[in-house]
Amino acid sequence: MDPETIEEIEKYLDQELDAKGKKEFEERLKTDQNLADRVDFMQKLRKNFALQQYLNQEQAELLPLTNELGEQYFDQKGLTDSDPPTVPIPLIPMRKWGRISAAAIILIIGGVCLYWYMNRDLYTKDHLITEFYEPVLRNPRSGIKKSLTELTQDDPEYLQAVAEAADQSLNQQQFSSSQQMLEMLLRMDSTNTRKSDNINLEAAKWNLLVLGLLNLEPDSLLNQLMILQNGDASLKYQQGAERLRKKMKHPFYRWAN
Amino acid sequence: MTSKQIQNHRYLNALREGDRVVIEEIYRELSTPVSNFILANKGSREDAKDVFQETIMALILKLANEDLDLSGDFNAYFLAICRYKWLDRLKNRKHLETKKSMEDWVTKLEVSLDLDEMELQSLLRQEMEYQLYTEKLNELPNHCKEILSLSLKLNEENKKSHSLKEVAQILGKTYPYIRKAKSNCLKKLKANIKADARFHDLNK
Repeated sequence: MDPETIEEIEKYLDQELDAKGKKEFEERLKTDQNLADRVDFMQKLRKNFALQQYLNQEQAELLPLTNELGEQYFDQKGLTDSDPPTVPIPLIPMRKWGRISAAAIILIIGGVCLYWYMNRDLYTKDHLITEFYEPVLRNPRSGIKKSLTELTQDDPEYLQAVAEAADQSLNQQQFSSSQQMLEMLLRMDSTNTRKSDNINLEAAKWNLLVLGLLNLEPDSLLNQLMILQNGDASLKYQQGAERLRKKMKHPFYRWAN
Repeated sequence: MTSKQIQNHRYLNALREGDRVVIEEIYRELSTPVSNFILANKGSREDAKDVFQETIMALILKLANEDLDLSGDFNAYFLAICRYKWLDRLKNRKHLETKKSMEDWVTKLEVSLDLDEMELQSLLRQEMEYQLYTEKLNELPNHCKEILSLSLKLNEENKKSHSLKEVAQILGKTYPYIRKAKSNCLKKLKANIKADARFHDLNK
């Protein structure tokens, strides 16, 4: 490129040519490919030099910043190119944590359901009555010669026969019959002086309370059990009351009944 | 303005102004997909770092010249530039069996790839041209660099390039010497640029 042409091009690019000179120059550009190439070269040189200046001056901090961030996000210590990629990825990805949590919840719920399924019978009212019932007759058939239907209230064996009937009804899962017998036994005993040492009246009272599972309001029964637990009953019944209260308060009790 | 446009504007503005916090956000968000793509396609972490940095620079160059009007998503645009850059490098390395991972990630990111191909090509061409011109300028002998830099540098007062008389004065040389030297330096620079393979790519 000769100096004259360069100066002419620069004048054109700096818009220092007058209107006539500019028109003539642009006419030449249309026909002179060499001149057009030179103008194009000078324009690009100016543009890219200006960009360089801009990056060096106004974006001087950019290169150090991208170097720093590049190291931080791409050059992690101890990692090689065959390692899983870049930026800290948790050993177990978040999506997997979600799946693991869901599986754990399902397992816990499943476990509780299975445990409940296998133990559900332990908390039914029938099971609890059978579990906590105490025989009223201390020695079964001791001194009883006839059945209850063959006896009258005046017979000395009558009370024992009622107690026996209460125990038998319960063994046959006839709870309301057992309840009637126990009520009869306690009613008669309060008016009858012919008591039998073979009858456990405290057990009869306890059994009536346990049979309350069938017809008493839970709160009322819990209250009566609490009174018994803290009262002057035998230790056996105090402990029984405490155990039964706990079972009644267990969630399984509510689910089973 | 949609939320996507606001986010695009925020990112582009951060690049233009060198906002460290937002630029780091871009690294945090996009370094993994870029790295994954390059590692899955015969590249290394170092390659991924370079491509990422080059993409940032390409965007800044573009923004220095004109505004970038993104109709799509910034992330998708950024990933597409990285992909183009990496494919270009692979072509030079003769490894053409690349995977479609980037498209998969883009799909996963639920961003549309409705990118303007021409716009993308223009951005990459601009970056290539910048690299070619500045590289060749820096390869010139020192006296050429001095003369051309002063000639090209805009005068602070009139915002025009320095005249040869001004350059001669600054460098303490005669006007005829500077005039002749500048002509020779430009000739040399032009020849060097034309001899580079990138020049032919740019003029395809």
